[in-house]
Amino acid sequence: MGKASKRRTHGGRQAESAATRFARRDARLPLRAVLIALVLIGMAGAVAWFTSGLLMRVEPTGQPGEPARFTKVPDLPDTVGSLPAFERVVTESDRLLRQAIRSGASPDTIGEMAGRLGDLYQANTHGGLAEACYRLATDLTTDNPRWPYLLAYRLQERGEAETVTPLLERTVELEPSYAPAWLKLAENRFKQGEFDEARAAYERRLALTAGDPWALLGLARLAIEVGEWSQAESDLLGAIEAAPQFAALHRLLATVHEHYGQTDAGDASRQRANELGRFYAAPDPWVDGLIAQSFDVDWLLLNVSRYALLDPDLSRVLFDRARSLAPEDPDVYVVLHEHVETLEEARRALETAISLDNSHPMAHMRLGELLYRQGEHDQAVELLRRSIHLGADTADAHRYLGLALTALGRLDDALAALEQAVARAPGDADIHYSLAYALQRAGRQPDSTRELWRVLELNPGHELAARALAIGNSGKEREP
Amino acid sequence: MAPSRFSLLFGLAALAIIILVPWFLVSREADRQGRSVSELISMIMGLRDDRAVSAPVDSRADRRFLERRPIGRSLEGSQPWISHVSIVDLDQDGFTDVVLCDATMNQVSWIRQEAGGSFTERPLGDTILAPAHVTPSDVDLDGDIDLLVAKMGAILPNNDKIGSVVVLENDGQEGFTTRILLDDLARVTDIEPGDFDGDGDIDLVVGQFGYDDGEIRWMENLGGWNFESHDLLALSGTIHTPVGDLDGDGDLDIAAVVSQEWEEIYVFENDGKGMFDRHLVYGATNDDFGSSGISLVDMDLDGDLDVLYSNGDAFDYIPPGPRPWHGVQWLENDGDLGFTYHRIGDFPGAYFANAVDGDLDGDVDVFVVSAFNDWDSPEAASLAWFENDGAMGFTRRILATEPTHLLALASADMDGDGLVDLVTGAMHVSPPYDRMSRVTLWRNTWKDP
Repeated sequence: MGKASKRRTHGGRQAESAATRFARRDARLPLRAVLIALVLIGMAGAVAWFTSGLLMRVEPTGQPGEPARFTKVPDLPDTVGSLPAFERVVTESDRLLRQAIRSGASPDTIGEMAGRLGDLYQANTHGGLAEACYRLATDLTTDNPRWPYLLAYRLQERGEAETVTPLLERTVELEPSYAPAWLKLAENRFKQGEFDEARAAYERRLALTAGDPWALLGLARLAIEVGEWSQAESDLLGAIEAAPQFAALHRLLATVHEHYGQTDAGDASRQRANELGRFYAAPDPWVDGLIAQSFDVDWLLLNVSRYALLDPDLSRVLFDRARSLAPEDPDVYVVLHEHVETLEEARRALETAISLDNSHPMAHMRLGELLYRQGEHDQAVELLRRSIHLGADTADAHRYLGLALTALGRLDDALAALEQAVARAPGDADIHYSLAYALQRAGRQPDSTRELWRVLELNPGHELAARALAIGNSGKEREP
Repeated sequence: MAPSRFSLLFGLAALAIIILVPWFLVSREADRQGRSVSELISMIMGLRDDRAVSAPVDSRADRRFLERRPIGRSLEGSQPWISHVSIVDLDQDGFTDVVLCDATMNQVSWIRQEAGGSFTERPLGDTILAPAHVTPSDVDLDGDIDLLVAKMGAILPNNDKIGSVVVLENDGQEGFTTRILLDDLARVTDIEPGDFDGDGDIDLVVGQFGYDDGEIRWMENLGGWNFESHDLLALSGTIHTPVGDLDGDGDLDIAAVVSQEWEEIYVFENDGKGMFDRHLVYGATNDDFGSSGISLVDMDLDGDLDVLYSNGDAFDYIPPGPRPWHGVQWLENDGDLGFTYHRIGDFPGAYFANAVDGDLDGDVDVFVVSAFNDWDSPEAASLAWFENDGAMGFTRRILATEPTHLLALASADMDGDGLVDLVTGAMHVSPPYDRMSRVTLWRNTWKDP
């Protein structure tokens, strides 16, 4: 090849070289890009790994990888001894809540679910777990007043006060028409000595429920606490006009009368209070309604008694729930017998209890006592003996056994039973009177008289004993 | 040399990765944990740590360091109602004794300790119906120990005026004469001594539970067993009225726990001359809180008196049973008669608590008895202690599940071994009756692990 050719060739080589380079470069470009991308990806991975390592240090306790809100959801309780229905419901509610957290549901949704799980715990005497759930619900939901209120309620149940105030304030801010929250806030303020704030809260309650006796009572207490006795008196007189059946108002008025030295007026107020009965708490639907979610039969039965005065309808609902949850629990029917109206209904309830558990000591004892009162002494003796054998070894069981035996004329056995009753409760005047009666029936007059004197020593106001002694123990004492 | 285009791009990409990847991860984690990014960064840097802390729970490794033995009379077929126990060397013979209120026998009794640690019981004075509380005090300042006895008249609810303020006056030879200082009162639950007016004699403060009608009064000693009564409060439900210098001004103030529907604690501030200002220092808004007892003790060893407070009363419904909120707390004395509530822990049926250093570690632990636990369960505890971690954090440890129905508790070194022992009294008002006791000595055998 010639020079030109060479040149050409060279030029051609140059051209070829540039093209080749270009071609090679074109070929290397994706390779380099790939390499660079790989390096960057590796770097990203390294950074991510390092960052994750740091984040591991602040991973909240709980299952690795689970969202932190899980740590605020309490572990399921030990449900040994609980009804299977409770275990099912609580497990499912807990599962759904965790699933919502895991799936990134909105805070409001999670909060509502946590609150409802809290309700379930609160209703079933797992207060600590309820508290944790209500905290989560209160933190996450901004517009539901129930959660701060129920959290406040749970805290005040355990006696806390200071931490309760802001929760109650948040409640009334969200739901200014919920009168129980104003009352709770007023009482909480009053008991912390914040009298002005308490007065304002009582007045808000009164504005919502005109003539409310609890608010009026609170205002009168406030007046007394700051030494405004005349204000307290006029508050109470007005309150009694608005709520004449509320015993606590009369009782506090008696205190005011006594402060002024008006003894007779004080006595009259006190007597009126005693006629009207005991103090009872104000209704609180958000709280009272929770108990109806309970699967704890013992707790339901206890609240049957607790609400019998305050809210008989709720008391009935609770009882029905207890019976539907545990229709074969004899305790349900033992409680029922205390709340029915007739002796026949009480008897049927106790007979049902015994048919469900023939070794229930208290059911036997109560039925034995009831049959004694109905004059069925043979059966009463049988039931009372069995109740004692089963473990109801109480003074009352021995006493009613003794009385039933006395009625049957089996006086030696009766006296033995009554001696047993006295041994168990030597300070009980009524038991000594029963013994005196049996001794008199047995013709042991001096012993009977001695027992009657013992009755009066124990209870100087015992009218039957006094009368028996007055008529000379002539065999005309009234049957106990 | 100027960086190539590739180098520049590479650098920018690397920078983006270094910044954006951690930002993305931290943001996502912050959202997951419900925190702000800055919070999380603070935590990563160790500037903050607010991860969940587990609440103290019952120890799995309970230490049963109390040896129990019944003292005094045996059960003798009765279902005892011991309403109070108090520890005192009544005959001042160097051996610590126990005095108690027996509401079954309607008597105050003395369980005398003799050499060798044997105990014998004998009744003191006349019949006293439903004695609720006995407080040793040399009320007539004659050098021997008399007994102040709160007579309820009936343990179970009653609105009648059947209570009395009773003194069992010691003749110096442990012969006791019954003196009734005040009669026909709403049921009396506590009498405590103190010189409230600074005249050198012993006055009394009297708590009257009543039922719906109760009171608190102080009785000024006029000499010759004459007392003048001064009303302090007219509310039902007073249980205890301990006496101490709560405001640190050198005179004796009175604290009182008022249960029933009130559930409040009052302090009656003394001016040193027997004029009292009333302060409501605490109140639970749970009207079924079940206040059951208070005592005054320096819980945090800061030199002032705090209030140790139990809530576990359940006499109000039949059958009596525990509530989920029963337990023990203390009210920290902040000065100026301000108090801060601190929960110590839950304990169903908690009836009375004593603050003592049970394990000799220099802090104050809390022992507590239960009268109203779920006795159908064999695991229901009747005696527990809350061990203090030294920073007023408490862990509950169960000490006994039987005997059941423990209502009264007192503590002192009964055997002179330097360890504080316990004495309990049981009130068996309801079934079951299969794990009964009357008065029990719990000897402390603590040895450091």
